[in-house]
Formats: sequence, structure tokens, C-alpha cells
Amino acid sequence: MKNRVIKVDTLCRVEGEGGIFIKIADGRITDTKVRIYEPPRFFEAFLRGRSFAEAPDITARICGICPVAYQMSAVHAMEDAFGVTVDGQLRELRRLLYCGEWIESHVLHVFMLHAPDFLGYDDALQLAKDKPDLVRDALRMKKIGNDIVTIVGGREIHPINVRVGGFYRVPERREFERLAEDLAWGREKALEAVRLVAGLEFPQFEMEYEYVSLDHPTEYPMLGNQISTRHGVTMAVREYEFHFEERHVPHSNALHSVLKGQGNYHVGPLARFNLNFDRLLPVARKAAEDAGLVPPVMNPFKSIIVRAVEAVHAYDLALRIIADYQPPAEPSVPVRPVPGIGFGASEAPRGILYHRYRLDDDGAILDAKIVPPTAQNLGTMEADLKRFVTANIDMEREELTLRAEQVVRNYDPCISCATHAVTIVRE
Amino acid sequence: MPAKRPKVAVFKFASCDGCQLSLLDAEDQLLAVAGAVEIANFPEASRRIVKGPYDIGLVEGSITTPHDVERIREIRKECRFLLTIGACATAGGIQALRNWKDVKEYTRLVYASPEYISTLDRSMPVGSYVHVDFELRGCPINKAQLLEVVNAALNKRKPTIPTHSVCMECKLRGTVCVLVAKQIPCLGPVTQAGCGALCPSYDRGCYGCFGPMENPNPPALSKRLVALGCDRRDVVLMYRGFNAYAEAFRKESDAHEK
Amino acid sequence: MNTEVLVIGLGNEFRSDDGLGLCAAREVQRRGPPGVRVMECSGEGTALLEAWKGAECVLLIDAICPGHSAGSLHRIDCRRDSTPHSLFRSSSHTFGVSEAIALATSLGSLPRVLLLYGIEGCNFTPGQGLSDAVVRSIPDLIAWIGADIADLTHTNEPARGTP
Repeated sequence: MKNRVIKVDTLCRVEGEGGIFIKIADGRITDTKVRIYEPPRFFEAFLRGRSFAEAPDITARICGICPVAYQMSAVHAMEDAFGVTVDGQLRELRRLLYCGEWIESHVLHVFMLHAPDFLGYDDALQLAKDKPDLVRDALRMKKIGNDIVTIVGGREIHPINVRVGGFYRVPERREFERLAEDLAWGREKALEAVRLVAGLEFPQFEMEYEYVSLDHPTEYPMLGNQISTRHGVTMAVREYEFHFEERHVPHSNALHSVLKGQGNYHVGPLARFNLNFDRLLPVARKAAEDAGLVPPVMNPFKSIIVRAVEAVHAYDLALRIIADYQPPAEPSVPVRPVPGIGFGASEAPRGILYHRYRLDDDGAILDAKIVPPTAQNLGTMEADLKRFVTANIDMEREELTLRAEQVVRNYDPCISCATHAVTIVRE
Repeated sequence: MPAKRPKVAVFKFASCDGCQLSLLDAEDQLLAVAGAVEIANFPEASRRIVKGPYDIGLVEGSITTPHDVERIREIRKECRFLLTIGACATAGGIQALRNWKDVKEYTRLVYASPEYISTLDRSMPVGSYVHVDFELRGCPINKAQLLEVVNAALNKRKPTIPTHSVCMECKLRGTVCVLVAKQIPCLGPVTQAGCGALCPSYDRGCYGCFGPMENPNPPALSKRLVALGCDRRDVVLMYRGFNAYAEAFRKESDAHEK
Repeated sequence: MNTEVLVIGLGNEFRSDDGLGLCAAREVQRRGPPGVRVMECSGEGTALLEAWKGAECVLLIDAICPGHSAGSLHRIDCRRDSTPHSLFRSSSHTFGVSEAIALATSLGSLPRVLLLYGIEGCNFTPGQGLSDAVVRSIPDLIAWIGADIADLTHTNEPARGTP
């Protein structure tokens, strides 16, 4: 019983698939790995020589779950390089588009991928047999997110309407008419979801995380050019690489990021929530408080509640943006390529997504660097796994395997990683 | 006893997950589909895995490692009807851009310790290793088309998927031609329909998500692109997108690189 | 891995904008990126050759002569691109940066990576303090350097091309 290996063969993606590997010998953990074995797709390499204008569409293909995040980080990096600022209604449209992606991603994760864990089902389809209304509502909630992305972005996966400087075409007010009612409904359902998931049973498990998120003076962060950490370091996005570095480890096709001089850190909903609680929209903040959730929240299992709270925030923000929306006269501001370097970051549903491009005088990309949120969380996931398994080493094999998967799923590493078969084998 | 429901399995290779997500995005149809078939293997959605053989196998992603080659051969044996979904599985995807480069160079650029990475020199479509019963285009696929192909396979009929160009869709929806009226470079004339002529309706040119149409004439389009002011490099980049390795696009981009 | 990067700030802080290289180097120093050594140098060529002796990756920061617009940033990959003599304030040093690079090239003692950064200055009169246009560009310059340091310490690979 004391010597065993917990192995999840197919788990998550950063650019794809991965698994968990935990080795226990004599009641002690001797190895913990979150492995990424999805073959590399070399985006950074083949971006070289492409035009700056192609970056949003090409990088979107890194992830079908959060293409908007890739597009947003890419356009901000290019605009930074060209010294262009996109604000006013164009910026609001970008935030609206992002609300769509947060809603899609969070609702999918909370109901379809994570809740079955807590409630003891294999998947949402099994859950649907017992609680059809819950799953039906969840699908509709998610669809509202898809609808936003479709209206603003043209289609729900790999939107086509985002360009450096703004959009190709901006929606007219009437295109949002139907949406307001749906959003109000979604907000109510998300409030119910906060109450529902807050009532789940959570393992006693807390970690001392170094939380890191974007930081905006007045907004709960989606877009921004400043980054803050829990321990009070604030930096401009373009100083990111002075503070964080990527390491390549043998068991993984993904790079691990660390905070220099400190090690692992934590990005994503929990980090955003803990660092920016005061900037949540009132309805979302109140929902959190009513559910007994106030910073600091150090239990990663509770990220499911935070996702529901962020969904409330996103529905409410989308409603506000639509209510005030006045189509801008031009769909984009003009950009003129200048040689230089651009830095951009945005808050993907899973946390900070950093892009950096070096460009020549024609606006062709000389080189590119992309750091996705899951790469930043990998070290933290491994640390969580180690702590969790150590604390529960006598747990029954099947239960422990399930919980180990859940520890990783707390980070919503990506949809493909979210649910998979696990085996524990004795050595 | 109720009739045994057909088993459907989803498999993933190098890709972004977007095409499988289309299945989860079919919110209105998902529960109905789940009732009509048995989802036997869909790791994106479920821990539950049912053993093969499967009636329908959906394959997303391109083949990029020696292990992938073995795996797709095994999968082929287990699936009665094999359907590739999306540009990666059907044409090698955006990652097929490596096929023009030295992959070792690529590995070195992205990873500090390239010796840990195992990869083939090229990113190839599923069809270059095993027989594929139907190839569904798109980056990402159109979910209505996905439901149509699955439905056709279940009912043993030929799926109704148009192979004409995006131009037809522009005409059908009444979109003014961006190439003619606004001189915007557009791949629509050589690209297969399926997206609903999305980009032209947003005032931008088509960038070829659905790959080459049936019997395209890229040289004629390229001539027009050059007349619009595109230089050789622009023309090469246009064809080298998400379906770069599809034969018609590959040949045309190569012709302009010489 | 663990390539050491040497950052050298060049110039004279008592000649206004000529001091920007020193100022930028101190900014890099203040951020203390691991694996990075920071030095200051007057810009005299032979001293420069001595300073980078044995170093594998060298990043030089210097002021650039007035050209089209004060405050504009330059980045030159010295192994790939030529370093026009006219760009630098070499008048006060008869054997300056460009000469040092040219000599090292012919002697085969050029560091494996040699990148040269500059900001275009506008005031090179005696006195302390940088002009506003230069001050505004320093954070960008630091960010550019940070990106290169990250690339060098990560893949051992110089970022290619200009900028």
C-alpha cells in the first residue's frame, strides 16, 4: 500500500495534452510531475517573418478555448510597439468580447468539468440524467457567452473581427438588442451558481501562494499594462521578463515559469480575486461576501466559487457595456508599423497571458515570445499535488487519484486536461 | 430491449481543441445528440471511457510524432467510420508551416533543451497515414456541418457538404465583393465554402480557413492579388495559413517562392 | 544555459544626453536580473575591448547622435549589421565604439553575441541631466534590453535582426 504510483495518462494542455505522475515509496512522495506531452506546435518559431497584422489570427489557433485572450494580448503588444492606444468604445468592445470568453470558459468549467468532480459524476452528461434542469441552464448560460463572441467577433471559436488598432467592423446597437435580456437572465443564474457551489464540500487545504495578476486602477482586470503580486511588487507589463523566467524541464513539452528569486506563483481567478476584490462590480462582490468568500482565499478548491463570482461580474459588465454602447465612427484607429518591440498582456480565463514581439520596419515579426497562464501555474500545480498527496497519503487509492486530478483541475489547465481516466499502480 | 446506441469516440492529436469544442458548443443539440449516441470516448468532456470498436471516430489534430503515427493506425482499426475534423487533421494545420523549415531549428528556438523534445520533421494530415472516410474542413469546423456529417454517417447516407467557393456564399448572403469593390486581397475565390462568407461580411478578405475548394484556380487569383499590389512575399504568406499544406495552396505558395 | 550577460553602459554623465548609457545601465543594475553583470565605461575603444574580454554575450548602451528625432530607440546586432561610425558621439574619443567593434572583428575577438542599444540624444553640451525626450524613452529601452536578456539566458540564442 505504501509504494505506489499515481498516474493520470491523459490530462491537460498548454499546447495540448498531459498527465499526472506521482510516485510514493515507503509512505513518502518521491516524485511529482504534471507532464505535458502534447507535441510542440512551434508557434513562436513560425510567427517569424509573418506580418504583425496576422498575429491575432495566428496566435488564436494556439487555443480553441481562449482564442480571444490570444487575440487581445497580441493586439496590445503590437499597439505597444507602434505607440498606439485604443480606448473609448473600441476598448469597451474589446472588454465585452472578453466577457464573452470568460463566461463561456467559466461556465463550462464550473458546470461541465468541475462540478461533476464535487458531485461524484463521470461527466456533465451523467449529471444531466439526475439534474437535467441544472445542465440545461448551464448550457444556456454558456451559450450567452458564445453569443457575445459571435456578435462582436464574428464566430464563437477563432473570431475573425479583431485587428491591431480595433476591429474590422463594429456592431450596431440593434445587434445587442436581444442580448440584454439574456445577460440579465445569465446574471441571475450565475448568482444562483455562486450559492450552489459555495455549498459544496471543500477539502481542508490551504497554500501560501504568491498571487500575480494584472492591475488596473479602476477595473477588475481583463486588459491593462500593469502587473501586481500579492507581496506588493508592481511592474509594467514590459518589465515582465525582469521578474519572471521560463525554464525547460525534462518531463514536459511545456515551459515552466518562475518568479525570479521566489519560484512558483499563481495566476488565474484566485489571484485576480484576492488582489482585486475591491474592483469587482458590486453585484459580484456582494455575491462573494454573501457566500462567505472574502480575501484572502488560499484554498485552491474554492476557485470554483471564484469562477462563478467572475461569471456574475462578466454578465454584469457586459450588460453595462451594452447599455452605454455607442458605435464608434471608425472600427479601428490607424496603425503604422515602426521597428521596435511590443509587450502585451491580458487576463485569460486562466490567468495572465503575456506576448512580446520584435518587429522590423515593414511590421514583419522578427521574433515572438508567448507565455500562457498554464505554463505559469505548472510549478504551483506540482507543489499543490505534492502537498495534497502528502497530507492524504493514507487515502484509499481510487479516492486519492480522483482528488489528485481535481487538484490539477482547480487550475482549469484547459478543457482537454479537464477530465480523464486515471490509474494508480503499485511499483 | 432498446436498440444499441451507436458508439462515438473523439480523438485528439496536435491541435488547439477548438474543433472538439464545437461539439460542446452545439448547446442546443448536445443533449439530443447525447441521447441518440453513446459518447464512448470524449476526454474533453468525460472521465468515462468505453472500449472500442466504435461506430464513428472523430479525429482532431495533425500527426507530428512517431507515436502519433502508431496511434492513428490503432484508432483506424477501431473505427468503422473515420471522420477528420478541422484544418489540422485534414491538411496538417498551421503547424504544417514547419514542413518548409528545419524542425531542429524550430525546436532550438522555442526550447532551451531541445534534446527533451521528440517530434517528426513534418506535420501531416491524418489522411496521409490511414484511410479517412470523410474530411470535414474548417479552422474551426462549422458545427452544423459536423452534425450533418455525423447524422449522415449514422444513417448511412452521403453527407451534404458543399465544395464550391466562398464566393458563392457571398453572393447568397448579398455581400458586396471585397476584392472587386474594395481591392482587399481575398482567398474567397479558391477557398471552400462552409463559414458563411464570414470575413467579407466583416469587411476583410477571406484567409482560407476551409482550405482549397474543389478544382480551384489559384494562379488566376494570384495574378489578381499581384495586380492589387501584393508582392511575392505577401502572396506566399496568404496561401501559407491554416491550410498551408493542402495541395493546391502548397503548390501555389511554392510557385511564388521560387 | 546560465549564460552570463555583460551589460556595459557607455558615455559621460557630465555631457548631458551622453550620460544616458550610464543611466540606463544603472536601471538594469537596479533590477538585478540574475546572471547579468553591469559595468560602466567611458566609450574609449581600447578600454571597451578590455572590458568585454572573455565575455560571451555583451550588451552595449550608448547615446546616439542627433538624427531624425530625439528619443528614438535603436538596436543593432553587431555581428549581423554594420555599426555606422556616424551614429556615435565618437568625436570625443578618437578610437570609439565603432572602431572597437571593427578591430575586434578583424582580430576575431568579437563576443559571440554583441548587441548595441542607443537612444538618440539632442543635447550634448557640458552639464548633468538628460533631456525630456531621452528620459521618456528610457523605460522602453530597459524593456527592450530585458527582452534580450531573457532570450539570452533562456535559449542562448541572440534575438536576431534589427531592432
